[in-house]
Amino acid sequence: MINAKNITKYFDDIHAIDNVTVTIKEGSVFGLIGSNGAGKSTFLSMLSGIIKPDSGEISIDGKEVFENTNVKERFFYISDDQYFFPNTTPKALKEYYGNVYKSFNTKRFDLLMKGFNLDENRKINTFSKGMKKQVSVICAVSSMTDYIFCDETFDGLDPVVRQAVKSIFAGDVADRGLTPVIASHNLRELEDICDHIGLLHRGGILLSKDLDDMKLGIHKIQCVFGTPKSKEDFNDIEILSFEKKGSLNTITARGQKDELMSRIQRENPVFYELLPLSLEEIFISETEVCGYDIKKLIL
Amino acid sequence: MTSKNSYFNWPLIYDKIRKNTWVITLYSVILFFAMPVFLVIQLQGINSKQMQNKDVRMKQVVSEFFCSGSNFITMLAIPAAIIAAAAVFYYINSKKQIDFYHSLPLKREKLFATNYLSGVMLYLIPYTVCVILSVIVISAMGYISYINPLDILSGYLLNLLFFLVIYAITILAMMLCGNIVVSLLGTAVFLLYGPALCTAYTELMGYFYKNFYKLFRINSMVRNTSPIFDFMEASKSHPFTASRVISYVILTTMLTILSIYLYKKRPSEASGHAMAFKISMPIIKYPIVFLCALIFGISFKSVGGGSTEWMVFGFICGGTLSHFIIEVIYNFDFKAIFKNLKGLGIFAAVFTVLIMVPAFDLTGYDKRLPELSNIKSVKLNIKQFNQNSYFMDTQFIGGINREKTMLDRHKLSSKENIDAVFNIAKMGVQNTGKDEDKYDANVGVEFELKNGSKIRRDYGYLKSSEIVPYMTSIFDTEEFKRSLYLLYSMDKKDVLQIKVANLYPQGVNITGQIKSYDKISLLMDAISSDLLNLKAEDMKTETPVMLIDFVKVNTKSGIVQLECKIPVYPSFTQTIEALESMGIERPKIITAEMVDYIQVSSNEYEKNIEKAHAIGEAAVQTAPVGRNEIRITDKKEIEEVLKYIVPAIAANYDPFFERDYRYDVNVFSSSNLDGYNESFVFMKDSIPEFIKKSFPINSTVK
Repeated sequence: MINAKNITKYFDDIHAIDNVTVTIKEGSVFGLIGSNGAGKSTFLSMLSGIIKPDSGEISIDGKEVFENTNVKERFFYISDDQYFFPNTTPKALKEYYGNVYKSFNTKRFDLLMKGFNLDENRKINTFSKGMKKQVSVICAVSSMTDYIFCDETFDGLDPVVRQAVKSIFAGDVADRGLTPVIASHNLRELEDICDHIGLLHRGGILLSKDLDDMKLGIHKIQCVFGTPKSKEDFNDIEILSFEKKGSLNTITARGQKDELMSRIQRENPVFYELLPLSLEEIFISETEVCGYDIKKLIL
Repeated sequence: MTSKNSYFNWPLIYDKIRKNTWVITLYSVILFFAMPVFLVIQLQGINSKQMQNKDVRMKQVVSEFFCSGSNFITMLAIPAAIIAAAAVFYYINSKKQIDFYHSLPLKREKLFATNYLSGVMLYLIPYTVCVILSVIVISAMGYISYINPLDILSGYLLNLLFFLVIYAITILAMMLCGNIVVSLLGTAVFLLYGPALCTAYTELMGYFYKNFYKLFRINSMVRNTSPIFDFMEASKSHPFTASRVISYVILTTMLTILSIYLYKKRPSEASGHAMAFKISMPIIKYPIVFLCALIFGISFKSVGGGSTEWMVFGFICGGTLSHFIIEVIYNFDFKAIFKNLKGLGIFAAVFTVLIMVPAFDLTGYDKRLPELSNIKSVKLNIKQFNQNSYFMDTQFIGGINREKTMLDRHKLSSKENIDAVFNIAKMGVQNTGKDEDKYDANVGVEFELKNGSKIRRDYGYLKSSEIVPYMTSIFDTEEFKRSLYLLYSMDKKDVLQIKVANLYPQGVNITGQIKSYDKISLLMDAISSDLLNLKAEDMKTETPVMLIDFVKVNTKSGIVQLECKIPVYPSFTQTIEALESMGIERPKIITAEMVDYIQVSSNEYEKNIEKAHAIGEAAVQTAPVGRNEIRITDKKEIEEVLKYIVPAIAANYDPFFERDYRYDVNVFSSSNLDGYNESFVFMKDSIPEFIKKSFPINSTVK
């Protein structure tokens, strides 16, 4: 389990991370959301032991990360602009990581290289941005570490590869309890993979919750009533949004699923159904509660 | 796999070397041409020439090449060390790379050690290969006997040590900086700051203090403040002592430990910034600003004809400009040019106070003289006396700090010598600051006091005529002669040869070369005895006729270590006798019969004509205009002139000879000087009347 406790980081006069406290559980996919400059990369750099926090502490399973090789052996960090040695090839990279990570799985590396249709003898500087990201992911998952820290890793991957990477992550989460921490400015990228979401804004955590918890508390119902209804007719429940398109009403409300459904039934709807909520919609709702307009923060 | 037990990660070292093969390739090519190829060219060149002592020369070349004597190879190690350090530690200045390396499960110490060793290998591999190739080449050419394995090993290790010193300095600069260009500038500052500061300091002190011992400080301080100058000096002819080598090993180790410490403390986010540590910014900035202010001040003083106003202007320009530039570099922002003006103001105030001390001699430097009773010993370096630099020129000491050695050699402890030197110094102090043009003598003095402290001054406000009594008293002591003439400290076995030259010219100058030990021994004994009997008073009237040059050569390298030139006076009976027994005759004194004609020129003639014009028309008319040169062909007149003249070359080897500077004499002899003429000088106040009358303007215009 990763514990970040009251961490703060300044870069000269810039307050990059402001008293952030986050807990990341093992075996879950943690999504770190935030706009550009929110502090995602700084947070991941501190998580990876690259940068030392000015105050607060970051630990993995109770052990300090900074300058702790035993802890560092347990994670692999993919930066937003991953460094590759000049004129290197994936094959050389495999040897390098093989020297650095004790549990590096060369067979898996070879298998994944084939799977992604990448030539291990080709120089990496001739690869496209997306291909380089694929090599980084392959190196990361082949290192067989407990944690993978990804900074905007999905940015630049085509949908097919993105899905493939997510599948690999999901498989490793299930098989060996891998904990990927994925930072992104794009909510939609994380929608179908994250179990837990942390929202960073201006160096501080706005919220950090399990996606399921968030989903349990907010619901979207599409319904048609015999007589026209307005938001005021539902003052007894916490309506987050009430949209009306002709006779079709779309209500987003906070509350338990059964309670909300029985409340709608009481108005004798002609038709009603429960719709799945997108991560974006959940976030809009959650951040509104905190007094922020999510559309101004991300996307 | 990562070895847990090893401090070095060998696969990573190999990997790092592989990634920097361009450095190895570059240096393999450079060293290949600079070492085996150049050696073959040198040896073949010597072999093809018709020359004496070919074997000695070959041995010398081989020895110089492999010992610490190769300046060129030492020079090549400087860029090699900087390139190697920059190549392997470049990553600390790149955000992308530092993110990569510092996220890996490697301790910073291990990462440092791995990179450090890789960088060393980048030079060590091509250098070692080229040394081996050079040995193979020499063996193939049949000169294997010239090689001393110990010399090769010591030269190899010393060169490697020099590389490591520069390498450690560059790495330290890289740890302190966050940008490669700034790091390289930092390296330059580390390597050159000391010599630059010493030079600027001595220049400035020499300007403010009239009796400052300038050259002494430049030579010794520059060498001690930069390994480059030290190793260059060492590779010339004066190898390091064991303690010096150990000092460099300790220095390299300390610098490396400091670099490791800084690397551990260095924040990753420092990459890309000019400086890695904020605390180091003023510590580095103000010494540079200080140096720039000094350099600009001295430069403007020099360009402005020695004007103090221009020097102050230079101080202001140098200080402010360097401060502005450093602020721009620190912030990578031109708009930061006027940052920290308060700091600049404080610096200016401190600088002004510091400069006031020598400018107004607040400490009484120039006037300071120790109590005579407190002086334990004195060291003396007579640079100029009687417009003659005999005391400097009679001896040559190869490759080392000449000023310091001269001073160190002439250590005098007898009371009479201490008194005499003290009186010279007292005269120098009394005259300090008075009309500079009057003085023609320059004596460097170091007083060693009974409490162990030293006072070193260079007295230039001295008149030869005033210090003659003291100089005479000093010269006549055995203590001084034994310290002045290197002959007394030479082991006869070490003297390679003795060259004898005529100072009384008769066509050929070098009259003999003596190489036999027995003859060398005989001559050394004779001249040692004659020298001790030589008195300064006699030297005023008697001038030397021959010059004996004792040459001591380093037996290993063949380089001249010491050279001692001793003039032989007609009163050196034992020496002349010994020389005659070896078939070397004293030169004949030119007589009127041998001379075709004598040309005498007046040095005052032009000056007096100008004076006459300045006085006015009437004066010019009363001063008949004539020629400034006369030719004497009458044998009686020639005979008269020959009584009062001595060869200029002989006069130069006699510091007490009093010459008349008003006239120059050229003697033409087709029978004795191979048709050439020779310069002579008149003894003081001995100008024949008929010569004076030949230049009437000299007596007309006062």
